[in-house]
Amino acid sequence: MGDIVVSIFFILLSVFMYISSLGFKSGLTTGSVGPDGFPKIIAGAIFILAVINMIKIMRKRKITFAFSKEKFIEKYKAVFTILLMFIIYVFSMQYIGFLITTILFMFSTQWYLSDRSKKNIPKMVILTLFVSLGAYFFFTSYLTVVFPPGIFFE
Amino acid sequence: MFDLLTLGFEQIMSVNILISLFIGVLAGVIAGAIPGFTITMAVVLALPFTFGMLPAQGVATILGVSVGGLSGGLITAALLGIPGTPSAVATTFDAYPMVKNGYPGRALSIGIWSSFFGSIISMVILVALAPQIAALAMKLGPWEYFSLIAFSITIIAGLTGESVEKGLLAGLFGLAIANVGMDPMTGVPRFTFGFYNLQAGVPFLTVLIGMFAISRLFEEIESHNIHSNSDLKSKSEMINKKFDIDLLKGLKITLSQPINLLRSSFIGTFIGAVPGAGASISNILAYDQAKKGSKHPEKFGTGIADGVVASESGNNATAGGGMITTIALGIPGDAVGAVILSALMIHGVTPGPLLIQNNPDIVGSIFASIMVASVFMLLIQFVGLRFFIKIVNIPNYILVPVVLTLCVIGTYLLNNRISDLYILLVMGLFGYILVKYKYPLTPAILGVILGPMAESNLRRALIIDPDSMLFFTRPISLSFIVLSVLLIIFSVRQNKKISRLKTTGGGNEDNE
Repeated sequence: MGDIVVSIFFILLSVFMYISSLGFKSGLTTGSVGPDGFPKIIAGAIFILAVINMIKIMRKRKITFAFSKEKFIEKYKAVFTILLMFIIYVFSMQYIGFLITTILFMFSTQWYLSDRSKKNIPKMVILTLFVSLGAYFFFTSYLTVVFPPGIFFE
Repeated sequence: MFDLLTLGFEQIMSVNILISLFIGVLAGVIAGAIPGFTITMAVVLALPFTFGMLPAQGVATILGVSVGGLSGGLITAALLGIPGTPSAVATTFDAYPMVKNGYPGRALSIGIWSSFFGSIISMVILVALAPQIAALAMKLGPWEYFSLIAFSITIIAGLTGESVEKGLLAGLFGLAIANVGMDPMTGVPRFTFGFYNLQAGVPFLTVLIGMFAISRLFEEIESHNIHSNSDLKSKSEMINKKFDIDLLKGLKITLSQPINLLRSSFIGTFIGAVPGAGASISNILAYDQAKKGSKHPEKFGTGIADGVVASESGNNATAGGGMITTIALGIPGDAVGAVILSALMIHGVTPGPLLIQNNPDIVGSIFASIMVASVFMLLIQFVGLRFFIKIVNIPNYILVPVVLTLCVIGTYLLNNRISDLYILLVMGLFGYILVKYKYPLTPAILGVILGPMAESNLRRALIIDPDSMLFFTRPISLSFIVLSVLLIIFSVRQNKKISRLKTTGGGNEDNE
């Protein structure tokens, strides 16, 4: 089922690429292939292969449309949670700054992923501070990188 | 021919470079030993640390990580029977039984020596071949170069995926990502969706970190409840057991099989040189060939030295092999080559056939650092083996957050832009979904890196002469196209064979 969705994604991608390429025009004379040429070739190739792939999948096995919401949630719960945490992390970085968000992110992901019975908070805190402060000071002093400072340090 | 090597030694024989090379090898060995942490991931994460270095030093460090990683998988493969990286799958076939038979020290010693000789032999082949191939490549016109790139992507696609279509689709997807940003010839913006930051294209390193590291972490997260180290625990007595490493005996046994060693190293080097086919294939092929060439094939799998020698020299030899095309053509043989190419580009060095002419110092230091890294690997493995085996037990809840944070830092460092972090996440998700449905990632990565080169050569060819039949009538160009077709047929058959071998060996389908 998911395999077919991926094939459909590729087909849609190729159609989108082809249609968007129609708008790529250059005033310069560029031979027979302009800025639109290469994307069009790729779009065509993706389209053909995705269709072949889809036919192959449909032939190979019977497609089951059974979709259990509970099973799906159970299987991907952790992935979606981490994903959400990541988005919040990156989004808040520009406001609160790199250091605070990184410490919070590392600690909370460790907290979330560890087993309930084995939460060793001192160990997690030490590791979090070691990695985030270590990376921060290493890169700011050695590469003179400016990490987003955030409102508290501006 | 060896003057490049001497020049390289002059370059890297400074305390700074040697220290960072040593740290690189150490990090590689540790990363290779941790199951779930691939060599590619280690190499990708090491790249940001080299931004501040000189090109020779940065490249040396990355090669150190790669050489170390290739041998690090041995530790877990031999002692626990689980490959620390996909490139050590065949090592489990004989090294683990040998350990169970009561010779852990011997198994490891043979493995380490074989890794060492594998790297060295491949380095010698690299030194001998790369300049010749580069000289040939200088004669290629845009037609040939375009066909060569198409050929490379085809082989990668054929060798790494579940099916050739999926491999090709992944490669084309990479080419599509490479289309984002300004057109390389006329500067027309394409697929930028109105974002100013996308005008320069999707940063290659971001795609690399996203697809190879973030996606891998998501896989770990998905399975984190199932894998809660229970299979490791049952084997933990092996971790705490005391044993001696027979240094000289291992060397003697390894050298008593010169034919096996040479054959496996040649296979490894050749597989490494073929774009896209990396150590995860070479170790199995080398093992298979050793079994076929042996006088007593029935003993394979029971814990004999031949199997360990073949798989470990086979996988380490890809380190040198992968560099052949990277140096000579600017076409990376695998993800490690892709990282080295991007490291060179970040330092302002243009890869391609002219690299040896324009930057002999860098090419030389690539040669020399493989050799020095092998020596360091030998030292680190023999001295530190007992410690590394304890690191294997790092639980996922520590590994995943730390690596995730390192990915974010590495991505941010490249351009100092927060918007790149969103691209990182999107690429990670793409990678995760692609792997889930058995699309290989290496073709996608090579598509991204080779896309601009393919397009420029195609269009340059058509500006010189609008006749598109020239791609099929110029002999070298035609032979690349014919080879691509032949290789597709070959790889369909080879894929079946490898998957059969992997299932009989209790394999791991991870592609690298």
